[in-house]
Amino acid sequence: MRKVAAVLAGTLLALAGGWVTPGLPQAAPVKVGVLAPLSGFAAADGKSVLTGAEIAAEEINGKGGLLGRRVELVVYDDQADPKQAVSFARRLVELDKVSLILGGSYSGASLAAAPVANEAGIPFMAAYAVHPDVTRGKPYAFRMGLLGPVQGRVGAQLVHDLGAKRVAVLTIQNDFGRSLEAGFREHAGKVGLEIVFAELYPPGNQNFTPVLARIRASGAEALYASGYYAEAANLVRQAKSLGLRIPIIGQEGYDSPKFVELAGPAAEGVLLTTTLDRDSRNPEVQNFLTKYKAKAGIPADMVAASGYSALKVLGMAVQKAGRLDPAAVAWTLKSMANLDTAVGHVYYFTEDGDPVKTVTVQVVRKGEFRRFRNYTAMALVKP
Amino acid sequence: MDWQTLSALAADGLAVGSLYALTAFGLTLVYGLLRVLHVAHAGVYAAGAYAGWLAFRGGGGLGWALLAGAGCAVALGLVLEWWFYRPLQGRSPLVALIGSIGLFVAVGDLLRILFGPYQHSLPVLPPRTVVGPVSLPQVVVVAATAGLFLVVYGIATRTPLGVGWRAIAQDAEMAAAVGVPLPRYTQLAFALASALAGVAGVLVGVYYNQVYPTMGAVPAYKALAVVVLGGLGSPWGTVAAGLLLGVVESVAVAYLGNRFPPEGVAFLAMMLVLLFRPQGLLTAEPQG
Repeated sequence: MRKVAAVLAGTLLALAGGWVTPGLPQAAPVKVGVLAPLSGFAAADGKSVLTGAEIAAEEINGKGGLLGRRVELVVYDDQADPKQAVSFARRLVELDKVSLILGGSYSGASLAAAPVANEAGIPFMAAYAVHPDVTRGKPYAFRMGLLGPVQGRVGAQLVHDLGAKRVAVLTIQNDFGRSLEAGFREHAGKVGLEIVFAELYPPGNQNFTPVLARIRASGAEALYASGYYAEAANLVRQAKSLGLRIPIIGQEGYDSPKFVELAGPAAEGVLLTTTLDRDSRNPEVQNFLTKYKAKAGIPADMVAASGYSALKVLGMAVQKAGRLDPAAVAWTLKSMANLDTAVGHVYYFTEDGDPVKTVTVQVVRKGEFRRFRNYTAMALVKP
Repeated sequence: MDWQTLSALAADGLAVGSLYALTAFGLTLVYGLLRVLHVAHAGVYAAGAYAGWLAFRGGGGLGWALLAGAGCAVALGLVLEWWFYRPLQGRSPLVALIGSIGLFVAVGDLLRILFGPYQHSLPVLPPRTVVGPVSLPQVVVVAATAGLFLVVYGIATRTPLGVGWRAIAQDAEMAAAVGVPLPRYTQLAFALASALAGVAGVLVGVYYNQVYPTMGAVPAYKALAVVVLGGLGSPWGTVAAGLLLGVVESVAVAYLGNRFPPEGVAFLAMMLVLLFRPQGLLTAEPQG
C-alpha cells in the first residue's frame, strides 16, 4: 500500500512539476517544413534563408512557442531544382506531417512545391520567390517577398527618376528573370522609356563582354540587368573593364555579400531593388541585422531577412487565428494589416496571398548596401 | 560596327581564345604522345586555380599565384602520369578515358570538400581599362599566353626534347628504338601540359574573379572541341583553333545573342569538323 501511494505521489508530483515549470511547452512541437537550396548553385542563398528561419524559430520559442508549442524546423535541400522540390514537398506533407511549410527556394522550385502544399491544405509561404504563379489560384499559398513584376515596375520608375530615357535590358533566362522583365517593360512604356537594346542570357553565364559592347554601342543611358550574385558580379566587373559608365540597376539577386566580394571595386554605385533596407530605423530590421551578424558572422542579406520574416509572419497569423486550421490561418493572414517586418512595411496581403509592401532601392557604397530611396506608391507596389 | 565595338570584341575574343588555347594545348600534347584523351586535365586546371587562390590568400600577387598554380598543376599532372596513365599503357584507350573522367569528377569534388562550394574571389588584377575598351585583365591574359607559347615554341623547335616529342608522336616504337627516352620525355610533356593548364586555371580565376570547384566542367568539354577543331595531335593547330573559337564566340554572342547558346558554338563547330574535315581545320591530312 505504501509503495502504491509513493508511486502515485511521485507521479502526481511529476505531473504538477511539468505543469508548473514555465517556458518549456510539453505538448507535441509544431513542425514547420523548410525547403531550401542547401547545395548546388544556390547554396549560399539556401544557407542564408535557413539561418534567417532558425533565428525566427528561436525567437518564437523563446517567447513560449506557437500556441504554446515549440516550433521545430524540418529541413530539406531541394537544390533549387523543381523535381527535388516536388519530391520533398510531398515528403513533408505525407511523411513528416508538417503543419506549415516555409518555401525558402527559388521561383522554379517554389512553383513546383506550392501546388503540392496547397492541395494538401498545408499553408505554404514563399520567402522570396518572385514568380506570380507561386501564389496565384492557391488559397493556402502565400508570399513574403516582392513579386517580379512589382520589382520590374519599380526598376523602370527608378530608371526614369534617374533621368535616363534610353535603357538596355539584359534578362537571365529563367522564371525569375522573365517575371522581372515583364514588369519592367510594362511600366517602361508608361514612363516613356525607350528600350534600345534587349537580350537574354543563360544562368551561369560568365562572359558578358560581347553583349556589353553592343549595349555601349546602343547608346543606352542605363542598364537594367537581372541575375544572381555570380552573374551580376561578372556583369558589373566587365562593364567597368569596358569603361561602360552608365548606371546599372539590379534586383534582389544582387542582394548578397557574395556579390560585393566577387564584384570587387566594380560593385560601387550599383543600384538594386530589394526588400532589406539596411538603413531602416525600424527596430525589427536592426534587431534582425544584429542577430544575424552574430549568428552567421557575415552581414544579413535579403534572402535571410525574408526567411526570418516569413516564419515570423506565419507564426503571427497562427497565433492570431488561435489554431493551426489552414483555412483559419489563410483568412487571418489576409486580414492582417500594417505589419512592420524585417523586409519592409506590409500594408496588407492581397486575395492571392501576396504582400503589398514598400520596395527599397539600395546602392553599394564602400562595399556596403545603403538606402538609395524607397518606393511606396500603390500603383507601383500593388501586385 | 564602330571601331569601339570592334576592338571590344577583338580584345574579348583574343583574351578568351588565349585561355582556350592555353587549356587545350596540354590536352593535344598528351594525346599526341599517349593517344589518350586526358579529361582529368580539366581537374588539373581547377586544382591550379585553387593553388593560385591559396597563394593570393597567403599574401601573394599575380606572379606568385601563377607560380603556385603551375607548380601544383605540375605536381598533380606528374602524379597522374605515373600512377594512372603509365600502368594503363597498352590497354584500350577507353579504359584510360573512363578512368580519366572519373578522376576529373573526383578532383572537382575534393576541391569542393576542401574549400567549400562557393566561389572565392581572386582579386589580383583590378577591372580597369587600359586603352579604349581593352581592359587590364585582357592585356595580361594575352601577354602571358603569348609569352608562354613563345617559350614552348622555343622548346619544341630548338631542343632535343621538342624533337623527341615529335618523334614519339609520329611513331612511339621507332622513337624508342632510336634512343628517345620515352618515359622521361612523356613525363616532361605531362609536366608542361599541366603547367599550362595550371596557369590557365589561375588566369581564368583572375579574369572572372571567381574560383569554384566546378570551374573545370566547361573547359573539360570545350578543350576537347578545340583540340578536334585544330586537329587531334596538332599542338599549334590547337592554339589557332582556341583563338579562333574565342573570336567566333565573341562575335556570335554579340550579334546572335541567345538565339543560339554561346556554349553551343564550340560543339557545333566540333560536329561540323568531325563530319566534313575530321583531320581538323588546320592540319593537312588525317592523323593516325
